[in-house]
Amino acid sequence: MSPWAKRGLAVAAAVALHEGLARGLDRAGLIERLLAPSGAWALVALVAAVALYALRLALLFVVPGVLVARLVIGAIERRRGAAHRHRPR
Amino acid sequence: MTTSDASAVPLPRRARLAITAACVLALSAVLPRAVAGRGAGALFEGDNAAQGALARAVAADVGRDTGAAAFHTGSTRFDGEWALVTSQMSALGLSQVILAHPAQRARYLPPLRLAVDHILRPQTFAFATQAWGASPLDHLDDERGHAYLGYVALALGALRAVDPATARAALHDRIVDSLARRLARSPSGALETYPGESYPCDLAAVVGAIGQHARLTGVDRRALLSRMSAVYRARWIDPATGYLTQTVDPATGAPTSPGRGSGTALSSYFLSFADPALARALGVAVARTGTRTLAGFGGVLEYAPGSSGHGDIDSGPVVLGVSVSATGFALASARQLGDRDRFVALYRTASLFGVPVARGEGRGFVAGGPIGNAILLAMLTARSP
Repeated sequence: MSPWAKRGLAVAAAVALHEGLARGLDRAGLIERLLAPSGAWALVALVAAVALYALRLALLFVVPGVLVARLVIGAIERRRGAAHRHRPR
Repeated sequence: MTTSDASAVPLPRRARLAITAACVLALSAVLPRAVAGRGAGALFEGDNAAQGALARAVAADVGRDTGAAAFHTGSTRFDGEWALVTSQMSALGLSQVILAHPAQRARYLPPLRLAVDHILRPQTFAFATQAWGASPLDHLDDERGHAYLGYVALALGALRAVDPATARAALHDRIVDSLARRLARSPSGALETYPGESYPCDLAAVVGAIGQHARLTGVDRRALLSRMSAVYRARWIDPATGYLTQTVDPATGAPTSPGRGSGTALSSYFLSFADPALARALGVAVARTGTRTLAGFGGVLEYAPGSSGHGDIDSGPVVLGVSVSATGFALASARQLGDRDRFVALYRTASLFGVPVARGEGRGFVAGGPIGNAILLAMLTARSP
């Protein structure tokens, strides 16, 4: 599998996990769970909420930039490779 | 190697890091604001589909009945207040959607009536009965307190605005008459919410309810509203920041705590039902003193520059001085003032941290819960006075 196929799969998996967590927490009632007297439920909800926000912030603020950077770096490295091949020996 | 091309010549690690950082920063400045701001323009314009999606989610929550037992804040008083506010904001929001789109009346009037029914159940007032030793609706002829009834009266007015023949009209009249009489007889202009406790934000709900009722029924309350406007401007609004003090001495009306963004923004919304000029002054203060933006995301400071404090049950979490409640409540004044850029910036923040999801035909915010979704419906559909 090519590196880009792996990256695409990883991003798709992260997006799917984000959607799953969002829908699951919405159905379970995030706020009610966090405020629930049962400490176990509150802990589960807290961990899931932290994971949701970490994924959400990464997918919006970090992942797109990293993917574009990979494209830019790849292009530059290929140009450097081409220049290297055509350099007079 | 960052590419499968075997002929590529790798960049130095430092150069790759610099390119990655530059790309992350550049895209952070444009992409998240575009994604989180989706739908903000339609809500600002009052689009039927955008408002309807939020209304359907709130209507479903009303059908599930969120009473005080659904909350576990650790305080029976706060649980009761949250249940009351959930039903009140649901009623206000659904009423605003009907007023904006009269064709939706048949769809949203039943849940609006149900939200008002929930408010008027005796158990809703258990928190207040506990504090006062008497049920408020059984003692409307008393001369003191119960400023939280302003929230109830606003919800009844919201129903009456779209259902003039409602069977609740007589009770609406009695509650507003009682509040107006108590306010008129208060030397300081302050009514107690609980014994020994007065909050200008709760009084804004009282004043808003009185103005709303006057508009709906034609009862002349201009003298009382004018007096309360003077009290707010002369005593309770900080002239330096425009923020509204959070608490006052019930006897003298003297401010006893600094201004708060959450109370100022919510009061601006409540007062818009009675005193558009005063509501506008508070809304402008929230915009000028309290609103901060970063990369297109907006937030509102809980404490004005020069004062500080912690987050509490009113503000919600306060992060870097910005409070969840103030930011959410400020959506209403941004829309009412026609400040599209600020509305969109605040909505982006609500969307980023609220996490909107589809719920059948509706759309709700994961992090809102019933109370947060009801508040956001009311704020996002707030109408110009």
